[in-house]
Amino acid sequence: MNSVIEEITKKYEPVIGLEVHAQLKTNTKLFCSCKNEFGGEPNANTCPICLGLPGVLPVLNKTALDYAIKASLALNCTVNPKSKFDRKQYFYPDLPKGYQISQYDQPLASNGFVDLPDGSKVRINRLHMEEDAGKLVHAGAERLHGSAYSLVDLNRAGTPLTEIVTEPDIRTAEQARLYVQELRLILIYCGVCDGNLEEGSMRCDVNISLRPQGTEKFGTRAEIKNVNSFRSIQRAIEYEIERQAEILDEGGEVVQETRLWEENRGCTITMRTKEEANDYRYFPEPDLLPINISSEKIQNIQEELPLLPSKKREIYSQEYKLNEEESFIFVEDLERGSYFDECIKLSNNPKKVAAWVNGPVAAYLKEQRLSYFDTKLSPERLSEVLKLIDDGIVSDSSAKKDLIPDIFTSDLSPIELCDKKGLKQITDESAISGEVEAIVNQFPDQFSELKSGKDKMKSFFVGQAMKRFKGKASPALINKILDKLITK
Amino acid sequence: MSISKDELVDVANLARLGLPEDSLDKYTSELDSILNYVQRLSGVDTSNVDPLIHSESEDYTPLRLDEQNNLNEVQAFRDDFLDNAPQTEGHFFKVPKIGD
Repeated sequence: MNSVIEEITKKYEPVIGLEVHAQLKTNTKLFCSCKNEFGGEPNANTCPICLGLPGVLPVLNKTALDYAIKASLALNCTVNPKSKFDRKQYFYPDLPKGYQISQYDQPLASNGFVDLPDGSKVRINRLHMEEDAGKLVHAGAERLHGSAYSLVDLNRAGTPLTEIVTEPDIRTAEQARLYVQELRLILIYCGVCDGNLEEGSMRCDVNISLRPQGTEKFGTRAEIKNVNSFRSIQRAIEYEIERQAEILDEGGEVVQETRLWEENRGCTITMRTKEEANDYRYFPEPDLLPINISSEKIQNIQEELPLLPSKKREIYSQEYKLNEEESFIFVEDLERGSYFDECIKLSNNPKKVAAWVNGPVAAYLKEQRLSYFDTKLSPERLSEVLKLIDDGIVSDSSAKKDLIPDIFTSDLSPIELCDKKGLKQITDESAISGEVEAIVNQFPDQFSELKSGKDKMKSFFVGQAMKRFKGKASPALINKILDKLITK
Repeated sequence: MSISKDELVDVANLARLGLPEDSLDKYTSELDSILNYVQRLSGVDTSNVDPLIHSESEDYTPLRLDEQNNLNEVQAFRDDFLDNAPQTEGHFFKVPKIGD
């Protein structure tokens, strides 16, 4: 938190709620069989239904409904057994029908919550389904103003969205960013949204007001639109906190209005005030009957839910004792996380597996631009390597140094690779116990110190032995022999 | 009065209808009489009746499988609708300047 915001929040408490629109990654649109894809040649994915031609009827996409239910359950919402669609009416060239099919007073789901990694909780007010609008290209200008005309691409018109609305539970810009990051992960884990913010798969509107610290009554809020990256969520909120605090400090009143975040200028500007607020004249969509969701269906989808990020974090830290950084990486990086999960099934040493996956494995794959399941180093093979280390057949350091890149590329097994490269340590006790005894005899004073309980002397003897065996003997084995000689 | 002149202007504005100034009184009074007529329904006691939104209140909306439509048909259709648009540029619809 920057110092200006810190100073302001001593006096005022920001009250923030977010509305996130997330695109569902179905094959086809919400109400017609047109392809749902980002990009594509302009207007290639359109049909009479999504162009809003007369005489056509929308039919709801089953998968879109299933995905929206799945997202609702992952966000701990109650899925309403009955909900309906409504028409939200306004005129804009990206909306061919002159209305958007959305859900108004009977949303698909309500009353959920998200647990954030910082320990806070954000309640979800509602989740509903709606169709997206098309895209406009403003000729000769970056923005609407100043362009002579606009070009309309309706490929996105009618693609399925869920709108997820929080309660005004958020208090800081950081918490808002954390919430959107967590929401994104949850939707990705559920496989219902690709979470690609650059392509607009998730878009965020921020409602924000300030109230004097210690008071209950909400201040007048502004709604900020066009906040479409993690960074701009934080920046836009901080800008708006400063703007509203300045107005309040001067004894003024914040105007209830919709503002637009200007990424390039780093500020928000007035889009429309309450007086000009759109009157959407919602009414029930006559072309679609109500949605009925049976408790069996909800039950089935509930059972399909994957392990969610918060639960995964808990397992990583409590069961596997991974540190925060390790568990963060495995939760954020889905592929690395599932590779780790596979490896862990074959090992009883999660810390060691984590160190290998995040260390030499991650480094090699990054350098080669390969993905985790694309090399010869399958989770099974990695577990063989770790077993060789555990058994003292090869040392951890020489495995990290000398088995790479061969374990990723070679057809030889890990043990064959160790053989070929001469990495195998001496593990036969009888082969070296004579030598260790000779060293002990060579340093009688040091040995009697060791015998009398000076444990530090042990590393002296291990060091001597390692020198003699040129690092090929396992320290564990030398220790074992020394212990025997001490008690002899 | 069920509707005022100001409300009429608002509604006309939302519907993008340009009503001439000298027609406002006429439309206000005509709409008012329609609304007054419909208003009679408010006299019925519906406190124990659920709203009937769709005529087939027992039915639920049908669902379709998430399968793409026939690509050849789509292509032919696209050529048709672009030909019928008042203005196009490439494969885009072209629309007049929006807003101010």
